[in-house]
Amino acid sequence: MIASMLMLWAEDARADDVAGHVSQAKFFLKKGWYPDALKELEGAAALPDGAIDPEVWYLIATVRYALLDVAGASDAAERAQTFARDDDQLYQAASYAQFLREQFGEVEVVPPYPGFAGKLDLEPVFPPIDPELRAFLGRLDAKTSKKRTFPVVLSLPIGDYQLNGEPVTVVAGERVSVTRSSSQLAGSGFANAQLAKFELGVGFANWFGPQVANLQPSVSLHGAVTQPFAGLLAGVFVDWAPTWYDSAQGQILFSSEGWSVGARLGYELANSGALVIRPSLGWRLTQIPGVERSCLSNGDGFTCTNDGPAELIVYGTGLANVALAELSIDYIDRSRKRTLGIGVKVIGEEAFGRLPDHGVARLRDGQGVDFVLADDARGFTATGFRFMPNVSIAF
Amino acid sequence: MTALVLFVSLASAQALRELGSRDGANLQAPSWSPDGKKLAYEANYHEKQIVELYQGDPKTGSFMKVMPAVRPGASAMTSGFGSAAKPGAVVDDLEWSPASVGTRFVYAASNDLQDYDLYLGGGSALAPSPGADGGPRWSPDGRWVVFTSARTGQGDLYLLDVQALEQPPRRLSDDPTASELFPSWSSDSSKIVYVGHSANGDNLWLLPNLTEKAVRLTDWDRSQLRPSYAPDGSRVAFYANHDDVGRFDLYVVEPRPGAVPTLLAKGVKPNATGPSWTPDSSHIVFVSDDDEKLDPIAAVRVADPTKVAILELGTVGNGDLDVAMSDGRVQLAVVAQGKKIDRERSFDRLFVADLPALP
Repeated sequence: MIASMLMLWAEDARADDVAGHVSQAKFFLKKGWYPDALKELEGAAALPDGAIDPEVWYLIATVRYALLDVAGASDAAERAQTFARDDDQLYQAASYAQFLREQFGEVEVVPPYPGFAGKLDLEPVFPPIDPELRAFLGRLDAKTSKKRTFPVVLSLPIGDYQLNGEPVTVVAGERVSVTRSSSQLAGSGFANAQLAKFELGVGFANWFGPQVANLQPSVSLHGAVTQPFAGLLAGVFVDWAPTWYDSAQGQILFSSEGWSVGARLGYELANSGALVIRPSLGWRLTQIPGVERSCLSNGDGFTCTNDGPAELIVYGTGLANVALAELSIDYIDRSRKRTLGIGVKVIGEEAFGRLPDHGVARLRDGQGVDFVLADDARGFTATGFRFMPNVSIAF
Repeated sequence: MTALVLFVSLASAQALRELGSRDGANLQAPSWSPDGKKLAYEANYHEKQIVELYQGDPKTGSFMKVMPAVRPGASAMTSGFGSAAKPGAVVDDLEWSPASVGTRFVYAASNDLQDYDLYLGGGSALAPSPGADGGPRWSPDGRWVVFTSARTGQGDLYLLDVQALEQPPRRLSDDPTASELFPSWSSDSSKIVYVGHSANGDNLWLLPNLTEKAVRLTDWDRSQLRPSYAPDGSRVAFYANHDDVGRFDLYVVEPRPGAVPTLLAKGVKPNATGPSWTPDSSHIVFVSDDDEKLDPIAAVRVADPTKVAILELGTVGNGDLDVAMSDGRVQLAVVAQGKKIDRERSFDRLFVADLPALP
């Protein structure tokens, strides 16, 4: 008899545990504390009696739905249906499972590479009129408005949406996978600035060509800002390349000129993992010092030409328009909001320069002499190459 | 009025297609979505006293049964499990939304408490309340749903704001001596024509806008029923048996007080959703109540009622029908007892065809 009473007490205790969990969960639900309620209900479902209790599973389904876990809600509703003990429970659980099955689908948003951090921008083509689905999308919007790591899977009411700039149709019971580029996931407007990248590089640069054969390889300092723009990556940059060059007398001269500003437009190769591979085309306006010209006296001063007999050799700084092609490879941990990256840039370029039409040449004794350049002596071209390790900060 | 009756046969290119039947049920009330891409119908199991509602794609012939869904909501999380009212025997009265709000619909359904509520397709009850709700009509601009409800008495018109369905509906009529039924919207969504049912008969009334009092359009004895606004808003078509209690005739009237109705056709079978206008408002397609000719489908030119065309589509024992435009073609859905060539004709089945050119 004692054993029977102990068994009854044990059974009551188990039943009380389920009832206790459910009661506590309902208290939390009244307060709107859904995660706490779910924890209680899952605690109930972990008990032997709770695991086959249709009300426990039905409540789990409704709470998971409130927490936007439609797949989990659907699974729980089907369990409630399986364990239903009468027609009323069966109808209610089956009807709810049918609603979830027929009114929701899934969208998987795939980034250019796993771990990409960005934002979701979701707009229904036809705003929902069903108050509950409107509320569902409102809760979803509050949850997805923050930056998050991709890929993600969303449960959405069936219908047509604009998802980060492109249409997607959600079909009942199906998952559709869509890919979005980094610029699409980066957002727009000021939000875009949050994925800006600052780059600082130090490397070497060299000009080639008969008209610049006296220029030596030089150090190049580089600073750039890159932003996503219209599906591409736009950048502006500043460089400084102080230049050493050979003089006709065999000396090595130095010029601190060599500033340039420019812009480039590129795109990020997809599926490159954590490496950001970015080919770009660009332009810069640059000073190229040390361009040599031969000059003859003209009575008042000197007239200089490209190459010819020389009573005076002058070295001028030309201003060149430079067309460039750049390949940048960076390693950046995109799963972090703010992150440092390292990489290299390789740049090939073609300069179309022009020297000023006149100037004052400084002789060794400090005396200044005037010179003019013949028109056909002002232009010059050069082919350039730069190699630049760099660090970047993305945020 | 002497009608010039023409016979228009269905060319092979407009071939009649049978879309479906339900064993033991008469199909009724076919209804096209405004874009003509979806079709709904009811299956009436008279003996079992059950009405089922179906909607789907007429091209593929795939139709789904429409059922109210259980939606727990916040309060249901703490109320009893298994306490939701179960669906009753009748699901009917489907009304499509305009295309501007997507392909949606509302319908009416009874529950095991013998109450009728309106439901949003795929959604839960709209403004549930004790007292039967029915006859929903979606305004062409997509903003409103007007319906008849017995919640405050014998049947008044109520208005739901589609953009705020969670708000209680606004009462539009409050005549204690009459019930207001069969609302029909003007194409600009500003006016509603409806039937005022009273002890003195059923007549048409016009709500000139959603805030003013209604004005009378007809003042006849007996029954004037199921008004239907023309797509161009110029006229309202309706059925009336004021001439002969055993016969319904088809009329049109301009939607203004004092307008005199014009008789279009005698002896017609009232359509479940009212007279069916062609999309250009030039004709009304109807079923002639003529046992000898097996209730043929006909079309009358509204501007010249002497021109009536019998449409030889190949079906007999015709009933409810609906007309809509889709992909540049005017389509007809009709329930009928069968085709002329059928050996057996019993329960009403659903057919679709392109409407031939009308005189």
